Amino acid sequence: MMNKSWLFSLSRWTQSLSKEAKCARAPILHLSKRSSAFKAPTRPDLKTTESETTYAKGRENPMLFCEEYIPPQVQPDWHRNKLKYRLERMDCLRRRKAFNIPEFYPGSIVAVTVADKHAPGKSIRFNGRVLYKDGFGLGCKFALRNVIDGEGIEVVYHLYGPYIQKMEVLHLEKWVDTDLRYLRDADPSYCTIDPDMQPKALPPTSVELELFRERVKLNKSPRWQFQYQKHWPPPYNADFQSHFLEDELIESERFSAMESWRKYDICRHYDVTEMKEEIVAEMKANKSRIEKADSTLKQETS
Amino acid sequence: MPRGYAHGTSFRKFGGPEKRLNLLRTLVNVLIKHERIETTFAKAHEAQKYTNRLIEIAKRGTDDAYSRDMIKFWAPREEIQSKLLNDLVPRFKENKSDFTRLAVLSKQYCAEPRQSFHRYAVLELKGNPLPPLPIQEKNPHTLQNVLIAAAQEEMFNKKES
Repeated sequence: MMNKSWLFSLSRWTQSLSKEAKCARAPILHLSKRSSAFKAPTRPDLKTTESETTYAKGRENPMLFCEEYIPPQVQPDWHRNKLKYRLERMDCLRRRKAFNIPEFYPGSIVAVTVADKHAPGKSIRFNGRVLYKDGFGLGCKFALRNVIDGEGIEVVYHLYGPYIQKMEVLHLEKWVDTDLRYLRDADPSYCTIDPDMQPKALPPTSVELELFRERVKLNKSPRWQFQYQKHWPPPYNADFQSHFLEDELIESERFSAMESWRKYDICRHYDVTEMKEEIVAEMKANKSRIEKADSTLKQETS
Repeated sequence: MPRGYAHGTSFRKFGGPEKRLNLLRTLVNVLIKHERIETTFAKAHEAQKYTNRLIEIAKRGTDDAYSRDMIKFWAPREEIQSKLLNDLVPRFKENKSDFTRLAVLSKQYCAEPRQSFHRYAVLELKGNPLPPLPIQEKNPHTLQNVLIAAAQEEMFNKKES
């Protein structure tokens, strides 16, 4: 006598057989994942992750923030046209993508090759000490000073000028002052730089730059380029009081006392901390904005 | 209007830069102590700018050397310094830049007690415990203001997305 349960299981088995028969006709479609012992290899990461360079305290990523991205101070505050500043910063980023503008500060030694159609070789190279780097956005200018054959020569360049073919930082230095025009009235050894000077090793961006705190003695001549003792704040790196007579000293101290209130006038100070965060966020978005703008231009022209 | 407003100098003179800063320093300290003061409109307007800026600096904290120097100059007395750092900074944690309110008094009130024709004003810190001033603040529940606020939010959300 056949057991009912045995029949039941037999019918089940025949059903399963038919399924397998179906599978035999088209085995590829019905392969279950669990049954196979084959393991697919891991997909390789083709995206190259950008090496995240760390920037120390005084140094910043020039693609995100630079001193020339800060707009000039305007009082009262609401007189600003911020659209103009944003467009100019975008243009600065465009230039920086095409040409590597190195990092340097007033006091460092820089060599610049500039295009000139009248020059032999169609370019001129000049190196010197940076006296100042002033201006906003594309109008940022810096001056190099070098003493050649006893003659002091200064040349002013635009940081974002397209006529600049090459820029090398021969010696990276950061002085406490940002305006070193008093070096015209100082010992010329500070500005005599060998035209064939070889570049020194640059410190990496993760290292904080030490400020240059030595004091430069100015010459004794009474006819300076500029009345340094009547300028506030008095320059840190310049020592102009060593040659002074008593009454000149008293006058210079009186002048600095007269202007010392500026140190505490908080409404006149230019606060940049909030602006810096906004600028960094803006410049991060500018990358994609530039790509969008360039792609739309291509579509229109083509 | 402060003289030379059109040429970029939005500050009044008050008899010289040092005298001006000392005057403003006393006004700021008195305002922090009493939370509501009554002076001429010109002094109140200038003091308002400096209190706002000082509280902004104090919010940064005493870790910054700059903020320490400024607080030491503008609030030299201990009681006012402690009130600024312990009471006002947490009170204005959410406000970005508006910490004071300036209300101009009527001409009749100015003339009677003082026998002067200078315009007087009341300067107070927001969130003070005194009874409120009878001034009309912007009503956010009028139809126009509701629509404007909704439009602003829409613009903001559009910018973000």
